[in-house]
Amino acid sequence: MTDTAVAHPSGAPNYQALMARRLTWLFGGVVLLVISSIADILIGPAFLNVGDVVMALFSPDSAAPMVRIIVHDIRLPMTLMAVLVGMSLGVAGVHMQTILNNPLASPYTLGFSAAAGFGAAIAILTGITLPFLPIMTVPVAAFLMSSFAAFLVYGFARMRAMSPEVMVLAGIATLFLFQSLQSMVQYLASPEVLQAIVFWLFGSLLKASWTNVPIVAGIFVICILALLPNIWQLTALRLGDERAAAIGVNVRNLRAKVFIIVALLTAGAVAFVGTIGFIGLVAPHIARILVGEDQRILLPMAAITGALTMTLASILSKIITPGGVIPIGIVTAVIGVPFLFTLIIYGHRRHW
Amino acid sequence: MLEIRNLNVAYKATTVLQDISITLEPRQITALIGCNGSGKSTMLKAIAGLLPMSGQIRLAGQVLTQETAHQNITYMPQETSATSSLTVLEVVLLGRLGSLGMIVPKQLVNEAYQALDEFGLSSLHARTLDAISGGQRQLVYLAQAMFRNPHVLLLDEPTAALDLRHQLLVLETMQRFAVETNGVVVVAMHDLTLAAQFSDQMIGLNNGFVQACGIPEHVMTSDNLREMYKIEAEVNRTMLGHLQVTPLSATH
Repeated sequence: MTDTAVAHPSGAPNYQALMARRLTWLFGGVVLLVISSIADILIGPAFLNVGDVVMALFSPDSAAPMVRIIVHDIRLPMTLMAVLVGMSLGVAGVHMQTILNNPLASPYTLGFSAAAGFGAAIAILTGITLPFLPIMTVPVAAFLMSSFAAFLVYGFARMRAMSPEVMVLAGIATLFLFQSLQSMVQYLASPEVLQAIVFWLFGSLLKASWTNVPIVAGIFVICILALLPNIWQLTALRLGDERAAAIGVNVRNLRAKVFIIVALLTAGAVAFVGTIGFIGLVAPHIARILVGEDQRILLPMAAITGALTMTLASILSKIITPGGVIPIGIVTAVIGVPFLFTLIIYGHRRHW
Repeated sequence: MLEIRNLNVAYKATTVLQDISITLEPRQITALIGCNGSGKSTMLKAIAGLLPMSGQIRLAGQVLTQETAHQNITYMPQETSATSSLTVLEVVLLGRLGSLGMIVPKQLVNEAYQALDEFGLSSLHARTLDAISGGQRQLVYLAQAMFRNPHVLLLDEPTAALDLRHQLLVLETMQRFAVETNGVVVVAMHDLTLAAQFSDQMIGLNNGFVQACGIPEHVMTSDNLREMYKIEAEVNRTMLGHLQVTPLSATH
């Protein structure tokens, strides 16, 4: 080692090695996601053989019409929806935890999904339909109610300088409010309607279609584009409010903006598939353990771990009962918990 | 030169700082002393443009706006426990938030690494913030502050969590910064003996007022300490000529 090397230590190679390691995790995640997505398309209650499915995917015209319809109009939208909802909830979760400075936060902490459930339940109970798009009635009701809950929490938080404590408190109050309203609707509903409401609340990918997949994708893309300019500021926020402010972050405005984005991501995801729990809590932690807190990597990694958990849960939901599909919302935790526990036990890095 | 004129800060109806006018010279270290709640942290934050305030702050003759305050002044908050798993190098890099894009230039990484090396911390670069000691964390934050290349450095109890050697490291860095960069340094401290030893000027705050301001000998008197801290204390000179405070009793 030369004298100059001692006087001017070079950090770049070390840093590049660290970033390379993180990018490897990210790349590995993408590969796993592609594999699990393909597996998800191949597996289903119709027991199609692999060759037929592949043919239906790549040359739809030469496939049997029934196979084509199953693969193209049922399985493909379901898989895409699983990926999109997983990505949305993963990203929403990681930023909810960042802005609330709370490892237990998730997109559900603040009552957005309980409100979506209430909106859906009201729409199912009353049976009202939208004039031109009757099929969109329940998602629109869920989306609107979820946005209303977000607006409520936002209003309270804004009055108190967007303090995380007030946000959590107002959010949990909102959560309980909408849960009890939801229960009230369920209590008042007839058995058939109750069944429809409960099915919605379980969360299911069976509602995925070529109409709603692009909407969820659109919301996701818009939200990500809106987050990108603030990516380093979000990283800085993990130093604590005071230190972030001291290096030039407008903490209050950042928190308000990201809150709105998280609300939108969550509302978009749950409106079409119902309440799918746990992904938004666990995916960010898995991502953080693997790649650290630099949001340039953490954001895509949280999206990928969310999507991976969703697709694996989707596969599981199809193989538990041969010939049937269990609502995915029921099995997400079954996939997520062992994953997280393994990382906590074997991970060397402290996290949160 | 940093000139503060008629600085007032109020939280809702409570006045925290009242009509503070002081002048801080470059290359000089100003120690801010006073009991808990006397307004030391508030004053530092107000100067850094982090609090709503009234009055005027001029740096080298230019009136500071919130934006120019952020560019020129670096405020280092008190040490707190960390829950973040950001790495030490990332923390330093964040000091130049404005220069960070989707790709971080090599040059910037090397400079951040060098800033760590100044404190002998480069071996910790890959450790996470929650996995190092409070004292090491404080030095990492100081490295971040220096990495910002400020004209004015405001430190809030930078020596609080540190052992004696690390206290000296911090204070010597502060001195070097003042001399080498022609910088203004204001440091809030509880250790009065150390404060007197390392400062050129002292400001004693009492309930948001300036109780005394001037060279350490004039500020650190038994009378002033009684007023500011409600204690009886003896102020002596050591054989090497340093001021030394011996607290005797708390008055009621």
